[in-house]
Order: sequence, then structure tokens, then C-alpha cells
Amino acid sequence: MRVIVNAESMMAMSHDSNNRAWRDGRVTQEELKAKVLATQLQGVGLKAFLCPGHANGISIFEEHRHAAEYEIYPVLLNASNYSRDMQQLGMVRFAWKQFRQLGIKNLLGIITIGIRHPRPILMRDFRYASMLLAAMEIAKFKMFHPRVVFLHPQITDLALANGNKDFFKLFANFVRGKYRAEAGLITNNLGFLLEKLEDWDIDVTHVVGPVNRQGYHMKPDQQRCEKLILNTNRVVVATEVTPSAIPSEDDLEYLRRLNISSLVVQLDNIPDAIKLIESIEQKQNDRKCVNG
Amino acid sequence: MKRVGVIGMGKMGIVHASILNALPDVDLVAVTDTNKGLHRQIYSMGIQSPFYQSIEEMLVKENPDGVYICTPTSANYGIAKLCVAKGVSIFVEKPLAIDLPNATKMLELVEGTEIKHSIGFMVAQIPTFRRAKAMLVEGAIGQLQQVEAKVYLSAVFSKQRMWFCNKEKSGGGAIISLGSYLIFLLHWLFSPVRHVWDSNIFYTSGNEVEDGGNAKLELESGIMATMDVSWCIHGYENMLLEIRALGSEGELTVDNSIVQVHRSDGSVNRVHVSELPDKASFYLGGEGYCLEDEDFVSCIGTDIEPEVTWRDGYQVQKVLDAIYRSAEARQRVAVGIGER
Repeated sequence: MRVIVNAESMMAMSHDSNNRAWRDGRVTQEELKAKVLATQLQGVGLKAFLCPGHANGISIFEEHRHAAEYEIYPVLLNASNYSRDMQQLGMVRFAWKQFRQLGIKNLLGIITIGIRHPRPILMRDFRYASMLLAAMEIAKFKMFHPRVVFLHPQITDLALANGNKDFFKLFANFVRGKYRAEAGLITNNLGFLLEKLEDWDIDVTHVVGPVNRQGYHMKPDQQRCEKLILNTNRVVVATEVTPSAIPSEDDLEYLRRLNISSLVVQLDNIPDAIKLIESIEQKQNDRKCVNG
Repeated sequence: MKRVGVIGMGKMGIVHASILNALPDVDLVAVTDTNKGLHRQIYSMGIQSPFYQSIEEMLVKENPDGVYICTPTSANYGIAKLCVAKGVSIFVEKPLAIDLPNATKMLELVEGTEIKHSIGFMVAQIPTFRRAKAMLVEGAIGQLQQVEAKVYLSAVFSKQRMWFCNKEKSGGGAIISLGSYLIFLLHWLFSPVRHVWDSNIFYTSGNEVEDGGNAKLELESGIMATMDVSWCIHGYENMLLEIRALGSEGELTVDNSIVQVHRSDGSVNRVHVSELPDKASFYLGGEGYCLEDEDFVSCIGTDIEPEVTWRDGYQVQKVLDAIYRSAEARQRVAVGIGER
């Protein structure tokens, strides 16, 4: 079972109660703590991270960019973050802040997108404006050579609710054409999304969403979700597998029955990480013994 | 099929319009905003219902069964008046009004009519808070003795031009925007608030509205509660809403994701949100928004009242008013002075 750590949970960005200790020990150096945690996680063998596309997220891993110790999966377009930044800074300072974080080469690439689609961008067309923001974010991840680039669940589910097929097509083509990476989507409405992706024939290879024995957040319902997961050709990565940090053998067995081989975990401390690794390794060894 | 329109296409208008688009028995017949420039943006998001700049025109042409008012708070009364005149059911984003006199007028508009009215206290739909309510009713902590309530969000750290930092449009800052959730929860979980004292309000970001505050509240049951509110605190990228209730036989703590009871006998009952029934048909920005929309829409054209109504909004507004009065007068004040 492949474990991917959600870097948001390392930076007190999740509202989950599991992060209470982290949040209550709130200090201005949370970024520094996250860097230390990332290094420690890498040290115990957890090297794959879902990483938000804004500056704080990337800075956790930036110092290691040349060592390629991490496998980073960018999560683009955190709408709340943009909304907050725009509130704080206003449009002009917000745009300046974004541009400042880019190198000249990246900036030219982004200007090219603007030149190719001037009208929709000036008219604030959501689809093209999103691609422009995505281009800015993804440029910061180039040093990690990401294999899959994901869309944040807020945006995925907004587009899904409104049946925005064009947006998903544009995102998939953009990621593949411009960055030679696979396109992935993170959602809280997994069943609905899998159905729509089939109907619309959208070339998205990876889908991340809630999959767990309890059926929690498995929309529209657990049975339909399971059927769709078993019938899809896409790689399904499970989130919200368990309320605790460590999935049980039953949790992992449930995922295996659905042919799911990757899960996303929220980790904010090393003891849990070690327990998780030991637990998964132990279970894998047990299975090898049983299967001879 | 219920015909519904959304008025005000800011963040909450987009959230509600998108959820309504995802619900099977709802037809989103119109979206309305005075800013014509938003039309292209909204359309490109996939919200392709007819766009209106005039509410009157939308009401006449589309004849909706219900509307969502998601405009700056100061506009609520005027819009509600137009909708009530057409007999349209109304969901309004919280708070009900910018101040108590306007909230009184709002409530008078709908009282005694067949119009369904609801208000966006989506916390009433969050499974952990619902479980906490059930546990308290069952007497999980014995006789209630004291309550602590807090809400924190990392949102406003500098001077902003947004409407919610403009007192004329919003009626206030963090207290009215976030504190209203706490007051609603106190009223909904325990009992209405009777008195307010030691109310302190602080301003740090340079805006004309407050960035937070705290107050002591006496509930009608005689229990004392404290509340602490801030929207300029680091480390809370997502809103933390937490209630801690102390009883004669234990302590209950609840937030968005977990409800825990530590009993005096040493036993602990901890329930994570994933262990609770998950009834929302679509998830966008949390299950609370979808569930409140489903509840409101299902009540339109029936004899059933929405779970949270403007009467609840009015109760909250009375306490908000008392908090501001107490802070200004630096003394204990009664809730609802001068009310209808």
C-alpha cells in the first residue's frame, strides 16, 4: 500500500481535530516546524506528498529541490487562499505577489497564455483565469518534476456541481500539453465525479476521494461508489480512510478489495508516522506469509 | 421541481447556486447581481441560469418559488420586502440584519404569512453539533453548570475594502460575522441568552469594524457562558468553532469534526464526524451548506417549517445588539431591550 502524506495537515491548514495539538501550540514558526516534520517523515520512508500550490506549501520542500528526495504532487488552486490573499492585498498587489514568486522564464510562459487567450482572461472567464493561476502555481513546482498534478477539491467540486465539462477538459489538456504530467482531481463527491468523467470522456488518470468501510462521504452512496471504483480504469487514491491516523487491517483490506493501492493520510507527528509505516509493513509481510 | 433564484453572486451566492445546481429536485431559474461584469465569470463557472441585474425583473419574469439572499447584510431588508410582496419563500445568509431595528422589521415581514423563511446558520446541520445536542438532551454531562464558546479564523489582518469590513454594509465585524454562529449555538444547544456583561471588543487591523471580542453571557436557564471571537488570529486557516460545556457529571467538547464527553467516572465517549450519519447529497464547502439548502427547499410549498428560521436569527440579533451595547456602556445589559 502506497502512502501519500497530505502536506496541508502539516501546516495547520486542516480543520480536523487531529491537528488540535499542532494548532494549539500555534507559533509563528509553523512553517519551520513543517520543514522539520517533512525531513523526519522522509527519514522514516514517507516521501510522497500532496502539496498545496501556494507559497507556504512549497517552501516546506524547497530546500530539498535539488536532492529530489521527495515525490511531490501539486494541488492547484486553493480558492480560499486566493480569496483571502485578494481580500488582504487587493487585486493589484495580489497579482504582483504572484508574479514576484516567478522567475523570468516562467513569467514569459504565463504571459504567452495571456496573449493566446486575451479576451476570456480580460473578461475574467473562470476557466481561463483558473488556468492562468494554475500556470503560476505549477511553475513553482517545476524543480520537482511532478508526475501527476491535482486540482483542489474546492474547485473540482464547484465545477462538478455546475456540470462544467469544459473546465475539466481544459485542465486535463493544460496539464498534459504544457507540463507533460498526468491530470488528477481531488473530490469529496467521488461517485458523482467518476460517473461524469466517464460520460464526458475526460482524460483524467487519477482521482482522489473518500473511500472507507463506514461509507463516510462516499457520495452518492457507498454501494454505487464501490461499483464505480471497481469499474473505472482510472487510478483511485483513497482519502478519509479512517478517523485516526493509523488505518486498521480491516480498513486496508477494504481498500484492497476495491483494487485501491494508494491512500492519503493526514500526519502531524513522527510517532504516528512510524506506527503507520510499521503497521503497513507488518500487514504486507503477513500477507506474503499467508500467500506463501 | 422547486424553482429557485439566487440574489448576490459573491462567495456565498456562488456556493448556494452551485449546490442548488447539484440537487436533483431544484431548478435554479435565475441568478441576480447588480454587477453586470460578473455575468461572464458566473457563466464560465457553469452557472448558466438567466442573469439579472434587477431583482424586480427577475421576480416578475422567473416567478421563483424561493430565493436565496446572499448580498451584503444592509441590503437584506429591502430585498426581503420585494420578495415577500411576491409571496416568495426566502433563505437569507446570516446575520438577519445589520442591527436590531432592521431585524425586527425583517421578522415582521414574514410573521403571520405562509412564506417559508430560513437563515444560514449551517452549524445546525453539522453532524457533530447535532450529536452534541442529542447527548445534552440525554443528560450526558448531568446538570449543566458552565459553557465556554470560541470561534477563530485567520482572515483579516489588514485594512480591507471588502463589504464585511464596512460597518454601513455589514453592521459590524467579527462579532456579527463569526460570533453570530456561537450565539446561535448557545441558543440552539442550551437556552436563549438573558444578560450580557464584561463585553470587550478589539480593533487591530485598521478597519472600521471590530476584529474580535469576548463577553460573558447569562443564559435563561441561569447558566453562565463565555464567548471568545477573533478573525485575526494565526493558525486557523479553516474556521474553528468550539463549545465546551461543563456539567455536574462530566464535560462535553464539540467542534466541526469531533464530539467528546469525559464523564466524572473516568469514562470517555468520543465520536468522530465520520461515525455519524452523512445525509448531505452533495459536498461543497462542508456538508452544512448542502443540508441547509436541502432543508429549506424541501419546505417550500409545504406546511413544514425549515429547521432554522428568522425567529432564530432574530434571537441571535438581540444578543449581538446586547454585546455591542454592553461594550459601549461597560456594564451588564439585558438582552432585547426595546424589542418588539
